[in-house]
Amino acid sequence: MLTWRLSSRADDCWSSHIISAMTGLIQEYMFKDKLRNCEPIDLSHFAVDLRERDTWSFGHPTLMAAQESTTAKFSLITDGAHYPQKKPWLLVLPTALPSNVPRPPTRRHCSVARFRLRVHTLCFETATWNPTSFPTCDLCEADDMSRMNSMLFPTAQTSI
Amino acid sequence: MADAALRLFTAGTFRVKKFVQENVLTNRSHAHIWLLKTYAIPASMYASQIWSILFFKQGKEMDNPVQMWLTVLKRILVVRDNTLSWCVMRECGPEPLQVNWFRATMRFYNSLTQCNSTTAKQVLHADMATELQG
Repeated sequence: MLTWRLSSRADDCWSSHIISAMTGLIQEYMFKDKLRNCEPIDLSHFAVDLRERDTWSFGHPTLMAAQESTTAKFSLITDGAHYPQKKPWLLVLPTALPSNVPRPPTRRHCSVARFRLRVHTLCFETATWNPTSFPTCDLCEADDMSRMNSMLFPTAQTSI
Repeated sequence: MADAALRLFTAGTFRVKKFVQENVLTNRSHAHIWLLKTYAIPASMYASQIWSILFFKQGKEMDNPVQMWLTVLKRILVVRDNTLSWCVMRECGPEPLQVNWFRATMRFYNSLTQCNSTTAKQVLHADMATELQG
């Protein structure tokens, strides 16, 4: 009788949820066997398998299909203000840039994210923590303070 | 129990936001995200070894009670709420919370298998026997 009761609750037990969640892992059968035998699992292999499962491999093709960052379609905040264009990267045309200006990055989704999160290494940013770095713009001859805007849109000479 | 974790996560988020405002870090989005990762996400893992097992399956990465995490990331990136969650996570860097919960649960399982307590081991064996009988 006790066995019947336990069996009827099997779908909700802790172990059954974990074992069913192993589906999709590369070493799924090995992990399931170890769980059923109550043996410890090597976490280093498990963590790698878990990352390889469709979690990230699904997200990446989504970005690739879009060809550019989805968040790049939204306005950037440059120098503390919203840039008026919704798609700022569309303004940067490689053919329109002079030879001495760096090309727009090919990995746009990474680059835009770095600007959005301010993890870029432009001189006006590094000057805040590196005393040997100068915050002046190194793209033009004027001694103006280098700004995110002038780096993103060097030909436009826009000011916000 | 997931609601309790969500409450802790919300509280952690607000404390981080307050800290960011007080220390003039509002224009340092990456620092904001790192603070959330070190303060708010551990709070959301409260007892996750038990309640999060419902969200381990493939395809449930974004279907969990701590969806607020994505909303916070979208606010930091200043993008619309209907932006694809995968893209937002890709660009901000953090993994889906499911990865953290699953790893924590397996660590908990490993500690159960290797602990000195016979009672804990018996509970684990009984639970596994229940699964096998099912």
